[in-house]
Amino acid sequence: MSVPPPKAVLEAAAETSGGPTGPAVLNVLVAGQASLEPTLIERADGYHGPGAGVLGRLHAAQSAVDERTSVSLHYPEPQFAAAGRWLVVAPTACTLATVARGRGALTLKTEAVGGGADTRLLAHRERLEAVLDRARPRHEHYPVRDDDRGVFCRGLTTFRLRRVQVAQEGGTIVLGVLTTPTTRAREVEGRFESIDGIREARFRREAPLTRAEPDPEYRTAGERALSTVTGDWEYEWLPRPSVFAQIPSTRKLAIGAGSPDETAFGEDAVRTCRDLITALIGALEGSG
Amino acid sequence: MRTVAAPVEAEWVRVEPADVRGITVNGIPATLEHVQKADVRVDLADEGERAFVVEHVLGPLGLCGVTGARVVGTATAWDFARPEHRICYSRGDGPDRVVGHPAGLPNPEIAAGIAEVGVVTDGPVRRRTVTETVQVSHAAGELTLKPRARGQGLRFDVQLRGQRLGVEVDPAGETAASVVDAVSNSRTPYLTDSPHEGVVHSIADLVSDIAILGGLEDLVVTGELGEAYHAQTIGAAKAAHERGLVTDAHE
Repeated sequence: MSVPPPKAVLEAAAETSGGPTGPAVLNVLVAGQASLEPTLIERADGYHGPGAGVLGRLHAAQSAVDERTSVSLHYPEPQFAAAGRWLVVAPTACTLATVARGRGALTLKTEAVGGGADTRLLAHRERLEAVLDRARPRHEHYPVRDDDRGVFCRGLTTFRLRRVQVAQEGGTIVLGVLTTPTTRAREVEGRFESIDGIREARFRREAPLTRAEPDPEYRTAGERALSTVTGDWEYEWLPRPSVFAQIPSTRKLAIGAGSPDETAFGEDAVRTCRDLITALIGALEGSG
Repeated sequence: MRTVAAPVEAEWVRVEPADVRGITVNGIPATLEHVQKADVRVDLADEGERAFVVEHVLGPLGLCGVTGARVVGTATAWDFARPEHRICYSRGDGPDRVVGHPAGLPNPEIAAGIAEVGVVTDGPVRRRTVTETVQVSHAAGELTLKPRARGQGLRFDVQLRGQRLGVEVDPAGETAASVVDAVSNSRTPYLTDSPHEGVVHSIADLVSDIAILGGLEDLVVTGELGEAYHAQTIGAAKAAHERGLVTDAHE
């Protein structure tokens, strides 16, 4: 199996995006955007460069959908108003997803500091270090601080430094927050309020957590497809809000090969992704 | 058949007496045929339902000699740091589908509870072994099951992360209390940096996978356990059955 050039994949997507419509149609949406850059290339072993994963999953979806009249492929612009079930092809590492974490921002106002410039700078630095230390993940039992792969942290409220502003009259530290179903504004704010020099903590939700409710037949088809291709089924949450959350319908699933931030997508991954989509469509057709 | 004399309440599970031989977890029979996943944990599945991390209950039940029981998950609160809780939330299921201990222990409250209420025996106690040595190769190492005479129980001589351990376990409930206590209070190798704690924990997993799920009570088990070793332990038990080497143990 060799992969076609990026240009051919993107041109084919532009021609076929949309397709049949109707309540019985499965809408296959490929998440992300790949653009024709000199750094995005195909080799004998797959795609390489920024956008390689999107391109690989798009090609996989095109191969699986082919000319089926019961499936509509959406790329790059989804038609969110389309009726029917939705399948988001995303880098889920061969798991199913029905949940996408939400996002928010925590704004911390710091007290003014007297003294010279060096003194003020030192005080602000100490506060920032205290904030970042408090932002580190915590759990009673699990080694969340060494959790590079997100095995545990995917389910925790997590923080990432977004912006720091220092002024004569005080400063502002803004943390980006990824939320879970148990994230509470008061708890988020309370975690940082007790830090010396913090005078105000305000949490604001930017995107709610998404929890899809695919009908049992659709969910079973997804689990069956995953079992057929990988031998078992698992679910994992999407790490952050994405196009999955923008689909107004709750009859949606995400599935796919690869991981976020990848810069290579091999032909094995293309084949696995294609097989997953094909198996899911087949399971749906079989159950219908 | 040996079952609990009265219900035992433990952290997020309840163990109820059974009328017949066999253990069920949330209604799913604890048999090799129902094993859905065996790597870093063991899940059982039946008709779309799934029970997660069952080795944390089957291990202590086996250590205490229980061969018949109904295990029911009782968790009502979510801990989304646990991947299994995220799976349940994603499917629209409750956290009670996960019966593994939150701290990664072979649930110590089960062993403590059984010690308190006692075990009742009804009918003959089954003892099975293998007719000849079963050797199973795995990327992580080899596991060997050797026949043992009826009533001799299970001897484990295993190595994990360079730490070797030899332990005698009697699936009819005569295991030394000190062994049960040590094993029940050892965290899973995935949550401890201590090789010793990890290999002690692995004894509960071996009992779960080979004695309870594999249905083998008199056996010598030797070998090296790798990461995700439930693939080895379940694999060895399955190999014994698939090769037609399982038989009643004789004196």
